Amino acid sequence: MDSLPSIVARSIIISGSATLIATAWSIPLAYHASTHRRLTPLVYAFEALVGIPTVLVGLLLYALLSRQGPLGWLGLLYTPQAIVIGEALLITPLLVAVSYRVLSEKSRELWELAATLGATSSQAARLVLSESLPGLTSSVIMGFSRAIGELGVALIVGGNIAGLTRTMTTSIALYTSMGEYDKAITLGLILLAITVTFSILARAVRREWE
Amino acid sequence: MGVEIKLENVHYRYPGQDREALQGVTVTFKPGRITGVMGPNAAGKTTLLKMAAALLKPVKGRVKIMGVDPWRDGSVVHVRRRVVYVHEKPPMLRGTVLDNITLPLRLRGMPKKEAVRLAVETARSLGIDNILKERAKALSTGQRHLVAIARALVLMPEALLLDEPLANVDHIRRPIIIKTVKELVRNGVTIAIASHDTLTLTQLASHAIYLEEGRIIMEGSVEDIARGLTLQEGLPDH
Repeated sequence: MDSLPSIVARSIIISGSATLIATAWSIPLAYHASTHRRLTPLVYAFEALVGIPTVLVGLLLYALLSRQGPLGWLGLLYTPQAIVIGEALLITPLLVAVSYRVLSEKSRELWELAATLGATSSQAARLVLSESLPGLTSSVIMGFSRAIGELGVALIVGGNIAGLTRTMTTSIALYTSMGEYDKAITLGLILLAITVTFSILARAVRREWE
Repeated sequence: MGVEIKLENVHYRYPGQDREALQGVTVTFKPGRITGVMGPNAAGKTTLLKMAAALLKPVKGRVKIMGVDPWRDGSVVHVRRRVVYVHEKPPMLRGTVLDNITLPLRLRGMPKKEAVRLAVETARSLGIDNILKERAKALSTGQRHLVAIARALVLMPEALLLDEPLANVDHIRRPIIIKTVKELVRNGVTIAIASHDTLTLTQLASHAIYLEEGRIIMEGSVEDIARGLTLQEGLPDH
Protein backbone atom coordinates (compact mmCIF):
# COMPACT_ATOMS: atom_id res chain seq x y z
CA MET A 1 0.00 0.00 0.00
CA ASP A 2 1.07 3.59 -0.71
CA SER A 3 1.72 5.88 2.23
CA LEU A 4 -0.46 8.97 2.45
CA PRO A 5 2.48 11.40 1.93
CA SER A 6 3.53 9.60 -1.26
CA ILE A 7 -0.05 9.70 -2.59
CA VAL A 8 -0.28 13.41 -1.82
CA ALA A 9 3.12 14.11 -3.41
CA ARG A 10 2.23 12.07 -6.52
CA SER A 11 -1.06 13.90 -6.90
CA ILE A 12 0.64 17.29 -6.67
CA ILE A 13 3.33 16.28 -9.20
CA ILE A 14 0.82 14.84 -11.69
CA SER A 15 -1.62 17.73 -11.46
CA GLY A 16 1.19 20.29 -11.40
CA SER A 17 2.67 18.80 -14.58
CA ALA A 18 -0.75 18.74 -16.25
CA THR A 19 -1.27 22.40 -15.28
CA LEU A 20 2.12 23.42 -16.68
CA ILE A 21 1.43 21.65 -19.97
CA ALA A 22 -2.08 23.07 -20.29
CA THR A 23 -0.75 26.56 -19.46
CA ALA A 24 1.89 26.28 -22.18
CA TRP A 25 -0.74 25.97 -24.90
CA SER A 26 -3.76 27.66 -23.33
CA ILE A 27 -2.31 31.11 -22.59
CA PRO A 28 -0.78 31.64 -26.07
CA LEU A 29 -4.09 30.47 -27.54
CA ALA A 30 -6.07 32.83 -25.30
CA TYR A 31 -3.71 35.70 -26.20
CA HIS A 32 -4.13 35.13 -29.93
CA ALA A 33 -7.89 34.85 -29.53
CA SER A 34 -7.94 38.13 -27.61
CA THR A 35 -6.07 39.90 -30.40
CA HIS A 36 -7.67 38.18 -33.39
CA ARG A 37 -11.42 38.57 -33.55
CA ARG A 38 -11.85 35.65 -35.95
CA LEU A 39 -10.71 33.24 -33.21
CA THR A 40 -13.54 34.26 -30.86
CA PRO A 41 -15.79 31.30 -31.88
CA LEU A 42 -13.00 28.99 -30.77
CA VAL A 43 -13.11 30.58 -27.30
CA TYR A 44 -16.88 30.09 -27.20
CA ALA A 45 -16.29 26.40 -27.94
CA PHE A 46 -13.81 26.18 -25.05
CA GLU A 47 -16.24 28.01 -22.78
CA ALA A 48 -18.88 25.41 -23.61
CA LEU A 49 -16.43 22.67 -22.63
CA VAL A 50 -15.43 24.14 -19.24
CA GLY A 51 -17.79 21.86 -17.36
CA ILE A 52 -17.09 18.72 -19.38
CA PRO A 53 -17.49 15.64 -17.15
CA THR A 54 -14.13 14.23 -16.14
CA VAL A 55 -15.31 10.67 -16.81
CA LEU A 56 -16.07 11.63 -20.39
CA VAL A 57 -12.52 12.93 -20.91
CA GLY A 58 -11.24 9.77 -19.22
CA LEU A 59 -13.37 7.59 -21.48
CA LEU A 60 -12.28 9.35 -24.68
CA LEU A 61 -8.64 9.19 -23.66
CA TYR A 62 -9.04 5.52 -22.73
CA ALA A 63 -10.39 4.84 -26.23
CA LEU A 64 -7.34 6.56 -27.72
CA LEU A 65 -4.71 4.99 -25.45
CA SER A 66 -6.06 1.44 -25.08
CA ARG A 67 -4.23 -1.31 -26.92
CA GLN A 68 -6.73 -1.27 -29.82
CA GLY A 69 -6.89 2.53 -29.90
CA PRO A 70 -5.07 4.74 -32.41
CA LEU A 71 -2.47 5.76 -29.80
CA GLY A 72 -2.24 2.34 -28.14
CA TRP A 73 1.26 1.83 -29.51
CA LEU A 74 2.51 4.56 -27.15
CA GLY A 75 1.91 2.25 -24.20
CA LEU A 76 0.72 5.11 -22.00
CA LEU A 77 -2.42 3.56 -20.55
CA TYR A 78 -2.26 3.10 -16.75
CA THR A 79 0.76 5.38 -16.42
CA PRO A 80 1.12 8.73 -14.61
CA GLN A 81 1.76 10.29 -18.03
CA ALA A 82 -1.72 9.25 -19.19
CA ILE A 83 -3.24 11.07 -16.19
CA VAL A 84 -1.08 14.13 -16.91
CA ILE A 85 -2.34 14.22 -20.53
CA GLY A 86 -5.94 13.66 -19.47
CA GLU A 87 -5.88 16.34 -16.79
CA ALA A 88 -4.12 18.77 -19.14
CA LEU A 89 -6.92 18.24 -21.69
CA LEU A 90 -9.55 18.50 -18.98
CA ILE A 91 -8.39 21.90 -17.68
CA THR A 92 -7.55 23.41 -21.08
CA PRO A 93 -11.08 24.79 -21.69
CA LEU A 94 -11.07 26.39 -18.22
CA LEU A 95 -7.61 27.92 -18.71
CA VAL A 96 -8.41 29.21 -22.20
CA ALA A 97 -11.78 30.66 -21.19
CA VAL A 98 -10.56 32.39 -18.02
CA SER A 99 -7.28 33.61 -19.57
CA TYR A 100 -9.19 34.93 -22.57
CA ARG A 101 -11.46 36.95 -20.26
CA VAL A 102 -8.43 38.35 -18.42
CA LEU A 103 -6.57 39.20 -21.62
CA SER A 104 -9.47 40.53 -23.65
CA GLU A 105 -10.26 42.98 -20.87
CA LYS A 106 -6.83 44.49 -21.14
CA SER A 107 -5.22 43.56 -24.43
CA ARG A 108 -6.77 46.21 -26.66
CA GLU A 109 -6.10 49.08 -24.28
CA LEU A 110 -2.59 47.92 -23.40
CA TRP A 111 -1.69 47.04 -26.96
CA GLU A 112 -2.71 50.52 -28.00
CA LEU A 113 -0.73 52.07 -25.14
CA ALA A 114 2.36 50.06 -26.08
CA ALA A 115 1.91 50.95 -29.75
CA THR A 116 1.58 54.65 -29.05
CA LEU A 117 4.81 54.50 -27.06
CA GLY A 118 6.53 52.96 -30.06
CA ALA A 119 6.65 49.32 -28.96
CA THR A 120 7.13 46.58 -31.53
CA SER A 121 4.52 43.79 -31.77
CA SER A 122 6.56 41.45 -29.58
CA GLN A 123 7.17 44.19 -26.98
CA ALA A 124 3.43 44.95 -26.98
CA ALA A 125 2.61 41.25 -26.48
CA ARG A 126 5.09 41.02 -23.58
CA LEU A 127 3.56 44.11 -22.01
CA VAL A 128 0.01 42.75 -22.30
CA LEU A 129 1.03 39.39 -20.81
CA SER A 130 3.06 40.98 -18.03
CA GLU A 131 0.21 43.33 -17.07
CA SER A 132 -2.24 40.44 -17.11
CA LEU A 133 -0.02 38.26 -14.93
CA PRO A 134 -2.15 38.47 -11.76
CA GLY A 135 -5.28 37.34 -13.61
CA LEU A 136 -3.41 34.71 -15.59
CA THR A 137 -1.86 33.33 -12.41
CA SER A 138 -5.32 33.06 -10.89
CA SER A 139 -6.55 31.12 -13.92
CA VAL A 140 -3.57 28.74 -13.69
CA ILE A 141 -4.25 28.15 -10.00
CA MET A 142 -7.92 27.49 -10.78
CA GLY A 143 -6.79 24.98 -13.41
CA PHE A 144 -4.54 23.22 -10.89
CA SER A 145 -7.37 23.04 -8.36
CA ARG A 146 -9.67 21.46 -10.94
CA ALA A 147 -6.94 18.98 -11.98
CA ILE A 148 -6.02 17.85 -8.48
CA GLY A 149 -9.67 17.41 -7.52
CA GLU A 150 -10.78 15.34 -10.52
CA LEU A 151 -11.42 11.61 -10.32
CA GLY A 152 -12.67 10.35 -13.68
CA VAL A 153 -9.48 10.74 -15.71
CA ALA A 154 -7.18 9.48 -12.95
CA LEU A 155 -9.34 6.40 -12.39
CA ILE A 156 -10.03 5.47 -16.03
CA VAL A 157 -6.62 6.07 -17.66
CA GLY A 158 -4.52 5.78 -14.49
CA GLY A 159 -6.04 2.55 -13.19
CA ASN A 160 -5.42 3.42 -9.52
CA ILE A 161 -2.24 1.33 -9.39
CA ALA A 162 -0.56 1.47 -5.96
CA GLY A 163 2.84 3.15 -6.04
CA LEU A 164 2.34 4.30 -9.64
CA THR A 165 -0.93 5.99 -10.54
CA ARG A 166 -2.78 6.19 -7.23
CA THR A 167 -3.77 9.80 -6.54
CA MET A 168 -5.66 11.42 -3.68
CA THR A 169 -9.03 11.23 -5.42
CA THR A 170 -8.67 7.61 -6.54
CA SER A 171 -7.46 6.69 -3.05
CA ILE A 172 -10.48 8.37 -1.47
CA ALA A 173 -12.75 6.34 -3.79
CA LEU A 174 -10.85 3.14 -2.95
CA TYR A 175 -10.74 3.66 0.83
CA THR A 176 -14.45 4.52 0.85
CA SER A 177 -15.31 1.31 -1.04
CA MET A 178 -13.11 -0.63 1.43
CA GLY A 179 -14.86 0.98 4.40
CA GLU A 180 -11.64 2.71 5.58
CA TYR A 181 -13.42 5.97 6.17
CA ASP A 182 -10.76 7.50 8.44
CA LYS A 183 -8.15 7.33 5.66
CA ALA A 184 -10.65 8.54 3.08
CA ILE A 185 -11.64 11.48 5.28
CA THR A 186 -7.99 12.34 6.04
CA LEU A 187 -7.17 12.45 2.34
CA GLY A 188 -10.36 14.38 1.64
CA LEU A 189 -9.36 17.00 4.21
CA ILE A 190 -5.83 17.23 2.76
CA LEU A 191 -7.33 17.68 -0.72
CA LEU A 192 -9.68 20.34 0.58
CA ALA A 193 -6.79 22.10 2.36
CA ILE A 194 -4.74 22.09 -0.85
CA THR A 195 -7.54 23.53 -3.01
CA VAL A 196 -8.48 26.14 -0.39
CA THR A 197 -4.81 27.12 0.05
CA PHE A 198 -4.40 27.56 -3.69
CA SER A 199 -7.60 29.57 -3.88
CA ILE A 200 -6.34 31.90 -1.11
CA LEU A 201 -2.98 32.07 -2.87
CA ALA A 202 -4.67 33.09 -6.13
CA ARG A 203 -6.50 35.88 -4.35
CA ALA A 204 -3.34 37.03 -2.57
CA VAL A 205 -1.30 37.02 -5.79
CA ARG A 206 -3.94 39.07 -7.52
CA ARG A 207 -4.13 41.61 -4.71
CA GLU A 208 -0.36 41.90 -4.36
CA TRP A 209 0.39 42.35 -8.04
CA GLU A 210 -2.43 44.64 -9.04
CA MET B 1 11.01 70.09 -34.26
CA GLY B 2 7.40 69.23 -35.12
CA VAL B 3 6.03 67.03 -37.86
CA GLU B 4 3.23 67.82 -40.26
CA ILE B 5 0.42 65.29 -40.15
CA LYS B 6 -1.96 65.30 -43.05
CA LEU B 7 -5.11 63.21 -43.24
CA GLU B 8 -6.58 63.14 -46.71
CA ASN B 9 -10.18 62.05 -47.17
CA VAL B 10 -9.82 59.37 -44.48
CA HIS B 11 -12.57 56.90 -43.69
CA TYR B 12 -12.68 54.45 -40.80
CA ARG B 13 -15.16 51.82 -39.69
CA TYR B 14 -14.74 49.86 -36.45
CA PRO B 15 -15.17 46.11 -36.84
CA GLY B 16 -18.78 45.08 -36.40
CA GLN B 17 -20.11 48.65 -36.77
CA ASP B 18 -22.51 49.68 -39.52
CA ARG B 19 -21.64 53.35 -39.52
CA GLU B 20 -18.24 54.79 -40.40
CA ALA B 21 -16.59 56.59 -37.48
CA LEU B 22 -14.83 58.87 -39.96
CA GLN B 23 -16.36 59.72 -43.31
CA GLY B 24 -13.96 61.50 -45.61
CA VAL B 25 -12.07 63.77 -43.21
CA THR B 26 -9.29 65.98 -44.52
CA VAL B 27 -7.23 67.92 -42.02
CA THR B 28 -3.63 69.00 -41.45
CA PHE B 29 -1.96 69.23 -38.07
CA LYS B 30 0.89 71.70 -38.46
CA PRO B 31 4.10 72.04 -36.43
CA GLY B 32 4.12 74.81 -33.82
CA ARG B 33 0.34 74.99 -33.84
CA ILE B 34 -2.34 73.66 -31.52
CA THR B 35 -5.31 72.31 -33.40
CA GLY B 36 -8.48 71.81 -31.46
CA VAL B 37 -10.67 68.85 -32.38
CA MET B 38 -14.19 69.60 -31.24
CA GLY B 39 -17.48 67.81 -31.50
CA PRO B 40 -20.13 65.93 -29.53
CA ASN B 41 -19.70 62.39 -28.20
CA ALA B 42 -19.13 59.75 -30.90
CA ALA B 43 -18.30 62.44 -33.44
CA GLY B 44 -15.02 60.71 -34.34
CA LYS B 45 -12.57 62.88 -32.37
CA THR B 46 -10.72 59.99 -30.74
CA THR B 47 -10.70 57.98 -33.97
CA LEU B 48 -9.20 60.96 -35.79
CA LEU B 49 -6.39 61.38 -33.24
CA LYS B 50 -5.64 57.65 -33.23
CA MET B 51 -5.45 57.69 -36.99
CA ALA B 52 -3.10 60.66 -36.92
CA ALA B 53 -0.92 58.68 -34.48
CA ALA B 54 -0.83 55.71 -36.88
CA LEU B 55 -2.75 53.56 -34.41
CA LEU B 56 -5.67 53.03 -36.78
CA LYS B 57 -5.27 52.38 -40.48
CA PRO B 58 -7.77 54.23 -42.68
CA VAL B 59 -10.03 51.96 -44.71
CA LYS B 60 -9.96 54.64 -47.38
CA GLY B 61 -7.89 57.79 -47.84
CA ARG B 62 -4.32 58.49 -46.76
CA VAL B 63 -2.39 59.58 -43.72
CA LYS B 64 0.83 61.43 -44.48
CA ILE B 65 3.33 62.17 -41.78
CA MET B 66 6.14 64.40 -43.06
CA GLY B 67 4.84 63.62 -46.54
CA VAL B 68 5.11 59.87 -46.10
CA ASP B 69 2.27 57.36 -45.68
CA PRO B 70 3.53 55.09 -42.85
CA TRP B 71 1.04 52.34 -43.76
CA ARG B 72 2.50 52.11 -47.26
CA ASP B 73 6.19 52.37 -46.53
CA GLY B 74 6.13 50.19 -43.41
CA SER B 75 7.32 52.90 -41.02
CA VAL B 76 4.41 52.65 -38.58
CA VAL B 77 6.50 51.79 -35.51
CA HIS B 78 9.01 54.51 -36.39
CA VAL B 79 6.21 57.07 -36.75
CA ARG B 80 4.66 56.08 -33.43
CA ARG B 81 7.94 56.96 -31.77
CA ARG B 82 7.64 60.52 -33.08
CA VAL B 83 3.90 61.03 -32.82
CA VAL B 84 2.46 60.19 -29.42
CA TYR B 85 -1.21 59.84 -28.59
CA VAL B 86 -2.34 60.31 -24.98
CA HIS B 87 -5.57 58.52 -24.08
CA GLU B 88 -8.64 60.20 -22.65
CA LYS B 89 -8.51 57.68 -19.78
CA PRO B 90 -4.81 56.92 -19.69
CA PRO B 91 -4.14 53.28 -18.78
CA MET B 92 -1.70 52.93 -15.93
CA LEU B 93 0.52 49.91 -15.64
CA ARG B 94 1.25 47.90 -12.52
CA GLY B 95 4.07 49.34 -10.47
CA THR B 96 5.01 52.86 -9.52
CA VAL B 97 4.59 56.14 -11.32
CA LEU B 98 8.32 56.03 -12.05
CA ASP B 99 7.93 52.59 -13.67
CA ASN B 100 5.21 54.02 -15.87
CA ILE B 101 7.19 57.05 -16.97
CA THR B 102 10.33 55.06 -17.72
CA LEU B 103 8.39 52.42 -19.69
CA PRO B 104 8.72 53.99 -23.17
CA LEU B 105 12.44 54.51 -22.61
CA ARG B 106 12.89 50.91 -21.45
CA LEU B 107 11.02 49.75 -24.56
CA ARG B 108 13.72 51.50 -26.53
CA GLY B 109 16.50 49.82 -24.62
CA MET B 110 17.70 52.91 -22.74
CA PRO B 111 19.86 52.02 -19.70
CA LYS B 112 17.82 52.13 -16.49
CA LYS B 113 19.91 54.87 -14.86
CA GLU B 114 19.51 57.21 -17.82
CA ALA B 115 15.78 56.39 -18.12
CA VAL B 116 15.22 57.18 -14.45
CA ARG B 117 17.15 60.46 -14.74
CA LEU B 118 15.03 61.57 -17.70
CA ALA B 119 11.80 60.44 -16.04
CA VAL B 120 12.57 62.33 -12.81
CA GLU B 121 13.45 65.45 -14.78
CA THR B 122 10.20 65.28 -16.76
CA ALA B 123 8.14 64.55 -13.65
CA ARG B 124 9.69 67.58 -11.94
CA SER B 125 8.74 69.83 -14.85
CA LEU B 126 5.13 68.67 -14.46
CA GLY B 127 5.14 68.93 -10.68
CA ILE B 128 4.61 65.21 -10.09
CA ASP B 129 8.07 64.29 -8.80
CA ASN B 130 6.52 63.91 -5.32
CA ILE B 131 4.40 60.94 -6.43
CA LEU B 132 7.04 58.97 -8.34
CA LYS B 133 7.03 56.14 -5.80
CA GLU B 134 3.24 55.84 -5.58
CA ARG B 135 1.32 52.99 -7.19
CA ALA B 136 0.19 54.29 -10.56
CA LYS B 137 -3.14 52.47 -10.46
CA ALA B 138 -4.09 54.27 -7.25
CA LEU B 139 -3.77 57.76 -8.75
CA SER B 140 -6.59 60.25 -9.25
CA THR B 141 -7.77 61.07 -12.79
CA GLY B 142 -5.88 64.35 -12.81
CA GLN B 143 -2.66 62.70 -11.65
CA ARG B 144 -3.12 59.99 -14.28
CA HIS B 145 -3.33 62.62 -17.02
CA LEU B 146 -0.12 64.21 -15.81
CA VAL B 147 1.67 60.86 -15.60
CA ALA B 148 0.45 59.98 -19.10
CA ILE B 149 1.73 63.30 -20.39
CA ALA B 150 5.07 62.71 -18.65
CA ARG B 151 5.18 59.22 -20.18
CA ALA B 152 4.71 60.82 -23.59
CA LEU B 153 7.12 63.71 -23.00
CA VAL B 154 10.10 61.52 -22.07
CA LEU B 155 10.01 60.42 -25.69
CA MET B 156 10.49 64.04 -26.81
CA PRO B 157 7.70 63.63 -29.34
CA GLU B 158 7.50 65.72 -32.46
CA ALA B 159 3.73 65.59 -32.30
CA LEU B 160 1.51 65.17 -29.26
CA LEU B 161 -2.12 64.22 -29.69
CA LEU B 162 -4.07 64.74 -26.49
CA ASP B 163 -7.52 63.25 -26.00
CA GLU B 164 -9.54 65.26 -23.47
CA PRO B 165 -6.41 66.10 -21.46
CA LEU B 166 -8.32 68.28 -19.01
CA ALA B 167 -11.36 66.10 -18.44
CA ASN B 168 -11.87 65.64 -14.67
CA VAL B 169 -8.60 67.46 -13.96
CA ASP B 170 -8.83 69.74 -10.94
CA HIS B 171 -8.07 73.48 -10.98
CA ILE B 172 -4.62 72.91 -9.45
CA ARG B 173 -3.36 70.56 -12.15
CA ARG B 174 -5.17 72.21 -15.06
CA PRO B 175 -2.72 75.17 -15.32
CA ILE B 176 0.25 72.77 -15.24
CA ILE B 177 -1.06 70.91 -18.29
CA ILE B 178 -1.93 74.14 -20.09
CA LYS B 179 1.53 75.61 -19.38
CA THR B 180 3.26 72.42 -20.57
CA VAL B 181 1.27 72.36 -23.81
CA LYS B 182 2.05 76.00 -24.47
CA GLU B 183 5.76 75.42 -23.89
CA LEU B 184 5.77 72.47 -26.26
CA VAL B 185 4.10 74.41 -29.03
CA ARG B 186 6.59 77.23 -28.55
CA ASN B 187 9.28 74.66 -29.24
CA GLY B 188 7.58 73.79 -32.51
CA VAL B 189 5.86 70.56 -31.47
CA THR B 190 2.70 69.68 -33.41
CA ILE B 191 -0.22 69.49 -31.04
CA ALA B 192 -3.82 68.39 -31.45
CA ILE B 193 -6.28 68.42 -28.60
CA ALA B 194 -9.65 66.70 -28.69
CA SER B 195 -11.97 68.30 -26.18
CA HIS B 196 -15.52 69.16 -25.34
CA ASP B 197 -14.27 72.12 -23.38
CA THR B 198 -14.60 75.12 -25.70
CA LEU B 199 -13.32 77.54 -23.06
CA THR B 200 -10.02 75.69 -22.61
CA LEU B 201 -9.58 75.29 -26.35
CA THR B 202 -10.12 79.01 -26.76
CA GLN B 203 -7.12 79.58 -24.47
CA LEU B 204 -4.96 77.05 -26.26
CA ALA B 205 -5.84 76.31 -29.86
CA SER B 206 -5.23 78.74 -32.68
CA HIS B 207 -7.15 76.58 -35.10
CA ALA B 208 -9.91 74.03 -34.71
CA ILE B 209 -12.18 71.66 -36.53
CA TYR B 210 -15.67 70.63 -35.48
CA LEU B 211 -16.70 67.05 -36.19
CA GLU B 212 -20.15 65.58 -36.27
CA GLU B 213 -20.91 61.97 -37.20
CA GLY B 214 -17.44 61.51 -38.62
CA ARG B 215 -17.43 64.58 -40.84
CA ILE B 216 -15.87 68.02 -40.44
CA ILE B 217 -18.72 70.47 -40.45
CA MET B 218 -16.80 73.56 -39.34
CA GLU B 219 -13.18 74.69 -39.45
CA GLY B 220 -11.54 77.91 -38.31
CA SER B 221 -10.74 79.56 -34.99
CA VAL B 222 -12.29 78.11 -31.84
CA GLU B 223 -14.23 81.36 -31.38
CA ASP B 224 -15.65 81.12 -34.91
CA ILE B 225 -16.73 77.56 -34.29
CA ALA B 226 -18.28 78.44 -30.93
CA ARG B 227 -20.13 81.32 -32.60
CA GLY B 228 -21.29 79.03 -35.41
CA LEU B 229 -22.59 76.53 -32.90
CA THR B 230 -24.43 79.21 -30.97
CA LEU B 231 -26.09 80.43 -34.17
CA GLN B 232 -26.99 76.87 -35.11
CA GLU B 233 -28.67 76.35 -31.78
CA GLY B 234 -30.49 79.65 -32.15
CA LEU B 235 -29.27 80.81 -28.76
CA PRO B 236 -28.29 84.39 -27.99
CA ASP B 237 -24.54 85.05 -28.40
CA HIS B 238 -22.80 86.00 -25.16
